[in-house]
Amino acid sequence: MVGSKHHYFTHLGLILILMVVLFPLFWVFTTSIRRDNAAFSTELVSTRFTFQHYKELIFKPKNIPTLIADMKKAVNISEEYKGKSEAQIQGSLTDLIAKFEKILASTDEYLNNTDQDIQKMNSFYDVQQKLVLDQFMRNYPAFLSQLQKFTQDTIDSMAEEVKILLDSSILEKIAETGILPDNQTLVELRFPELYSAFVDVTQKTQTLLNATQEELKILLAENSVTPAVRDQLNNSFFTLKGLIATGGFTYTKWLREISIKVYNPLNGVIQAIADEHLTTLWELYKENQKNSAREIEQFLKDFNTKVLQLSTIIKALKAEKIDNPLQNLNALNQAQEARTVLLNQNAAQKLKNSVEINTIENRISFFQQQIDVQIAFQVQAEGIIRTFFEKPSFISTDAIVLEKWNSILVQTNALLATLQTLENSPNFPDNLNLNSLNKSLRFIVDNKEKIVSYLGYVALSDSISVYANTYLQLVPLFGDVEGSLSERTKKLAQLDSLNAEYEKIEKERITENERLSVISIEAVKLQNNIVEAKRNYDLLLLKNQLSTVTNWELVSAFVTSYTAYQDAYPAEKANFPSFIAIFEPVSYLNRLKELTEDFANQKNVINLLTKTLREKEQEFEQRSSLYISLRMKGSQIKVQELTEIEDGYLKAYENFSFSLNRAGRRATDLAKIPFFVTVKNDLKNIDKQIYDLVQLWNKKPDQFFMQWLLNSVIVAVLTAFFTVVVCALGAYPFSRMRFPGRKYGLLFLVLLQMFPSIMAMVALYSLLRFTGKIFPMIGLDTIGGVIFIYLGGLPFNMWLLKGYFDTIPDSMEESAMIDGATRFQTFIKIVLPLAVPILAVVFILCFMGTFNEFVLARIMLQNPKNYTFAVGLQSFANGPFQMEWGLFTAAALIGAIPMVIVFLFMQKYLVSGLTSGAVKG
Amino acid sequence: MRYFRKIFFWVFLTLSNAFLLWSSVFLFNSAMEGLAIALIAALFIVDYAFLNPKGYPYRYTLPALILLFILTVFPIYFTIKVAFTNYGTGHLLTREQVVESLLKEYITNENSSDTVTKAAEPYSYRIFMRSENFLPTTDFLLILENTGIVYVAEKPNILERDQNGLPLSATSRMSELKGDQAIIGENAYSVIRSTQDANKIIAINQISSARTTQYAFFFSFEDASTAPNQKYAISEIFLNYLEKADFTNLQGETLRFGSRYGFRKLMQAEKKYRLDTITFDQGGKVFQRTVFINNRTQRPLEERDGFFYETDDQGSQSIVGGYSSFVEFQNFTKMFTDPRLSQPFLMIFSWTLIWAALSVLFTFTIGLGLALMLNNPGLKGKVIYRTLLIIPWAIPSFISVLVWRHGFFNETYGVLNKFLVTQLFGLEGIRWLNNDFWAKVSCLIVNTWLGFPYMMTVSLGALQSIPITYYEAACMDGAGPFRRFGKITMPLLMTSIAPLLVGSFAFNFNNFVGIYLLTNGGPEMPNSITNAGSTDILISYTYKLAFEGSRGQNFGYAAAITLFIFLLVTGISAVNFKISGTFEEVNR
Repeated sequence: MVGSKHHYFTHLGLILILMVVLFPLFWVFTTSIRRDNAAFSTELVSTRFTFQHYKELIFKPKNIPTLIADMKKAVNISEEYKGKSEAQIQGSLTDLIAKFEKILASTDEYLNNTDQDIQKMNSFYDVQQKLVLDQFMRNYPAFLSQLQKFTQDTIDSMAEEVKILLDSSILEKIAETGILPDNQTLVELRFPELYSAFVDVTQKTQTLLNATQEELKILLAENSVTPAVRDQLNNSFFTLKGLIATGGFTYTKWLREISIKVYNPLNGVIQAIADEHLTTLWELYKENQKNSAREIEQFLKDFNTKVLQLSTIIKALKAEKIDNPLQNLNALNQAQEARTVLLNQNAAQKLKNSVEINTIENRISFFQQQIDVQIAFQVQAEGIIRTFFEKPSFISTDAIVLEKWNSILVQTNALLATLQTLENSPNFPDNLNLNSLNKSLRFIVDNKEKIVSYLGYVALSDSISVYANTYLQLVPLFGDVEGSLSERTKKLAQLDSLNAEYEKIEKERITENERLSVISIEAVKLQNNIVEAKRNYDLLLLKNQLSTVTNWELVSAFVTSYTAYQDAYPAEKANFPSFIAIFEPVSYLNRLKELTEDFANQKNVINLLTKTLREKEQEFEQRSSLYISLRMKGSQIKVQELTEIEDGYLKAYENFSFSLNRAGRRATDLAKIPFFVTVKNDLKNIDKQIYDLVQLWNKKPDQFFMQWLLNSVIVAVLTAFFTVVVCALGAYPFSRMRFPGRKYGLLFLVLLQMFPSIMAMVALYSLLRFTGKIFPMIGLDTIGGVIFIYLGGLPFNMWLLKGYFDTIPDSMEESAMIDGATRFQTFIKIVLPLAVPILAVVFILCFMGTFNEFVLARIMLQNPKNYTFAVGLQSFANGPFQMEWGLFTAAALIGAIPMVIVFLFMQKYLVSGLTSGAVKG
Repeated sequence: MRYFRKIFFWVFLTLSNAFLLWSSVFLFNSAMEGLAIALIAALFIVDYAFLNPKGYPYRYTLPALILLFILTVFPIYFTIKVAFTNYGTGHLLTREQVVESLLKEYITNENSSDTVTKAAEPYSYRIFMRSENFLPTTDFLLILENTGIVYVAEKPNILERDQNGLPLSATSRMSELKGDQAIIGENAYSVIRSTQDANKIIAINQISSARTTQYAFFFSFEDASTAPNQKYAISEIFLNYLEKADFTNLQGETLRFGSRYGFRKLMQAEKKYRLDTITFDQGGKVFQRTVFINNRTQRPLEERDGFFYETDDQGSQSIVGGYSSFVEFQNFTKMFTDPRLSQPFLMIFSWTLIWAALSVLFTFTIGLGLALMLNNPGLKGKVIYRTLLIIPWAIPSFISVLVWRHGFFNETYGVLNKFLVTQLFGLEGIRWLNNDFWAKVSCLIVNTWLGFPYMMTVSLGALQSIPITYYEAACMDGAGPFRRFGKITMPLLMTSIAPLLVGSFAFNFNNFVGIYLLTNGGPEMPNSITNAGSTDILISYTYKLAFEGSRGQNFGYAAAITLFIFLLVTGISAVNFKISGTFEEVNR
């Protein structure tokens, strides 16, 4: 046999392929039963299941916003209520009001149920809080000691900068708020002297307070003190106590707040009693306080001086060790940047310079070209002149010629002289060559006697004029060249100096860079130290906080700070791993607390809301008949109660939906933590209840999925039915009879089937618009119209049926006809029963094809209520509810599953039918 | 019984003849000649089927034929007709309709600001309403006022309505009020003035021999105290009666609402164009032609390329109306020659071919692979595997495509980017539907997913029909598995599958849903004057040309492409029929 016995790999491969292939389906299913919105979730699947989306699609349950809208519609007698009697409208309005009340009642019920669970949570919290607190209290000393050891060690081994920074933070805090319990230990640790001064002040103040209390007792013991005065005196003592408790008690403050504001009015009262003893005691009482306050002021001054001294020292240290190096670094960086700017400027200048030099050199080379041209002329002229030298001399007598010659001679000499000076000038460049010119001019000067004796020849005297031309051409250029040359020299010198400057700065920059990199390393160290100091400070604060924990609030505050500390310094997590187990329950309980508090707050909000809504709704119920009769008479009305209900709902819903949803999410998150294992189900229940509660209140998109599905089914069934009937009739003669036009008819069918129907839609659209005028049943935007249009898909099905009819043997029909049956009878009684399988296939194919059709329906149907499922789903998915994946996937499944089931059952027939048609449905 | 049948036969025949004849005449009158011709053809067939014994078979096919003529042949005729016209945005109406509408255009005098004449002054107006049981009715009169002269106008008489029942044109008679009396036609009116303010008219009495009807002051834009009536006045009176109405007085002047005052005031108006003949010289011959003349500028409208152009003072031209006209083969030639159209067209055409070919290749390779795996005789659970693998085919494709588009290919929220690309591979999210290349990849992925079960099913069927003895014999001769596949499986498979592959190619060639629902043809192609997209195939491009008019609908061009597609598909199918021998039986 071919193949092996076991197919592990085949199975494995197939299962893998199946997983990939069916993943979209899996996703659609899980998304349709999620409680959260899949589009915005970071999880692929959620454990928070619900069938809410299906419920919504199938039953469209009424909730508060839809009911409000419905009531508005009813009372305003909108489209769907037109033509109903007053009593009918009143009836439906009463129904709506009853539903509204029912939802309010079930809201209360949900709230109460959830509240019961929340109460359970509260008792769980109470029990656990004690346990956790106990555990914390048992374990925290170990943590504290580790922290202590850790911080002591670190402070000792700290870099000096870190210590300075630490101290300066502590001092800053003191200068800002004085010594408070949370930094006391820190001060004690770092500044014992300062601390003892602080203790002195505190003790002194305490003494003052104690002494005053004693004296007050004596004062109050006096018989003459009236109850009113007694109260006033007592009050004055409390004021004093309060003043001290706020901190920063000084003499000035005492004078202003106590002596003037409180004692001065009392003076009059006490003198009015006219008890001398009492007055003396009172004066003494005040005097003692005054002295003590002065004393405290003195101590405080000492303390402040000390703080100031220390601050100055630390500041100086900080400036020296930290600020200055950082400033230096900054300054260096800035200098370096300035250098870079300078270098850039220099480079730009140099570029400009060299461009200018280049221009000048171009000018010079142009000059050279001119010279070369002239030389070429001269050489030619020289050759001509030389040919005359062999001939007999022929002196000219023409004055003009002679004069010309003389001027040429003068000019040439002048030119030679200029050349000489030019060549001797220091600016003379290497690339300018005047030698040839010199040489060729020399010819005239050297041979002047000879030339004179031949001037009679016209050709020679003409050739001479070349030299005159040279003069004309070159002399203006010489001036320019001279200027250019000196300019060039200047520019070259500039360039040199620029280059020198550049090199200097560059050198500086490089050396500075080296220094900078050294300093930068230091600076990085410094920065690290700053961070380290900050961390140590935070850690010390943390330690302080921990050492003062006594009750739950402080513990949870500490855990919050500890979590913040860990978040700020992630590397620290490793230092205290064993304590997370103690701290985590605290934060869990805190989260639970937040949840219950959230819920309690929102419960109040909702209770208040339902109360007001109930009241408004009752008012509305009482007046509804009045409203309706008014509206029936044609007045425009605005129902105040409904507006108030809507406003109240909108305002409250925004807030509570967010908080409640958060609470629900929290509950599920907590339920996953093992700590809550005993109350897991209650937590889940809370989430579920809250979800159901919010569903009663939230705004839902307007959708008609069930209407669309129904439309699609009606359209598909009717289309399929008519198609089967018409096609069976139409295909029969093609299979059984021979008649004119049969062959071309068949070809015609095939051709028709291939014509793309896109443009046909324009024609069909106008056709439907036209038929709609005569038969409104099959017009535009009607289901009937769409069915009518779909009946155009006959050719393919006729082919299918014809093919099947061909396979039914003729003999039975023939024998029936011999027995006297007509053609039509044989068709009805024999062929059709035998063709039931293919009729079923055509029906199903047509049903599925119609169900899937989307293009034509989209063009023909405009009112959302008339959409078929395909058009509706597409419009829903692309429209404003693009992110409502829950509803979308649920709808997709509702639409897909019946089709899948039909398809799978009919698979065998369909495949044969489809393959013979050679196209996919 | 026999007589009864006979009577029934003739009554039926007469009725259907009458109905078809009436329908086609009706259709001719409604300017739907194509459908009318289709119905006349149907009429002939009906008569042939019932009157000629040879036409007996046609009695069976009649319903199918009539439906085919109306729903298939007529649209095809329409497409072919449109392919040779410039029908589309700006060319939707026939020439007659455009001429008619131009002749109906009015222009109010408000813009002639150079001379302030009586004609340029607006008419303020007030509505007087007859009430029934203290509720307003739709029976009303108007008082118009212009430069101190007061007129009474009657409720406009609607001459023409559009398909929603709103008036297209209406006319109202008006007459000057003289001594508080006015007579319009057979009706006499007298006004009642306020006792406090003699200038203020508070009611109008319509006096006829039978009875007197009173119309009370109802609404005026100038009278703030009537503001509560505004809503009713606008929804019931303006939109239903006044908006398109002309008010004509005895001098033949016309009043209308203009753009300057909106509904607030009426303006004197005149027709914008008139028809006139102009004579012109051409090559020494003198021609006469009827043209539109603008009454204001006295310049004729120019007519070319299916448009009427108006020339303004600066000599620049603007379109005032367009109609569809016959353009010969322009739609076909510009498909290949006009670079702005031909470049996108050729790109779309080549992508259509690539798309169809790759779709067939991928679906067939995967389908065949799976079929080979499943065709193993010893494999257990074959039915379950096959059933599960067939599911993507069973789901309605529009649903799957929408799920893929929104759930999987969405750039921010889609499963692919959110979980696979960014989380698993740590790459940057792919711009699935907005990048030329990735959009094409997306289309192919989805189409492969949708299409492979079909290929798997047909391959499986074909594989099972290959007798196992062939393999056993090959085994004996020492052929390895690859050799067996190449020499036995493939050749035998291809004889039955090849036509299906060609058919699948033809199907994907026109696979509208697979493209349009997924990418909508996008991302848009740059530098195109039509709304062509990079993943558009011919059929979706045609659809967008015809129905999504963000850059103007172009039915003519769309029809031309449709014919082109038809030609190609017919060609492909002809090849296919040749392979499969479908037509041999026809000649049996």
